[in-house]
Amino acid sequence: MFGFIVCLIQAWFMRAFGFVALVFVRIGLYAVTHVLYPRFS
Amino acid sequence: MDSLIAFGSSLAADALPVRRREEGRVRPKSKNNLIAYGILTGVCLIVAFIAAARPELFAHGPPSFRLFLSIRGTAVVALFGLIGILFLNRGRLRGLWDGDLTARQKALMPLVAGIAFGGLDVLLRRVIPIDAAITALAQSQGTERIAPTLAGAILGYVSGAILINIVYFLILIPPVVYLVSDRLLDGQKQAIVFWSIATPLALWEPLTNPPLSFSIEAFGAIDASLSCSDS
Repeated sequence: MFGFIVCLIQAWFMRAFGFVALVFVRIGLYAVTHVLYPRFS
Repeated sequence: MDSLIAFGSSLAADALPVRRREEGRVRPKSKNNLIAYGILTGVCLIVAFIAAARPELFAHGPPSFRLFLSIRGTAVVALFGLIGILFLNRGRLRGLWDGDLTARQKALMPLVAGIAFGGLDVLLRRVIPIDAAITALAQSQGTERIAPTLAGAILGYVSGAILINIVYFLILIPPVVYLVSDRLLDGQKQAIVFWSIATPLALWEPLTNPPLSFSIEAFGAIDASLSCSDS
């Protein structure tokens, strides 16, 4: 469910600001969940 | 009246060569799309080359790194993504990097939104014991713990963020919006058409994340089959 909502937000950014904006949402998400969190948890 | 018609005809005659000149040139939106897409896929290819030269940086990465870090897999996804660019250049949907928007709107705001969602995800993982369940599942399947180096994680996940979104959003959304909204409906109901295709794709992506990965693996299979055909 969380992933679905994030993807919907990404799609909203794509429609409003373009595909690069959509990519930046995912980069921000991965920075926290895949890069920072595994190192500090 | 006749003079008005003559005036209109002369205007049309003047406009025609201008339009022909415009058609012969690359439109600013198309140029921006191509440059932005070149930068995105260029980053992915550079990461793939780094992975080929320094594989130890990416050791203990997730299974998806096999696709994101392969030169051939990256090239295949980048080529498929050109379908989306082609339709973005023709359609009314936002381009990759439109000049009428600020860098804050195109980069900073989305990045902050992503970080905020990441923080929310971490909070949820603290409350719901999903990490323990994933670790138990990985151990039961005999897979190793995912722990790439910091440099490997940064490079691998940036490349992954780009490639995964090309696969799930860029290849399908622009062609559907262009063909249905721009062509069939004369530019009407773009929002309905956009969300009609974006919503199932938004549902598809999380469902195909590991351990339920059966979509992104298909691209891995394309890469594997290309490798086999070479050998």
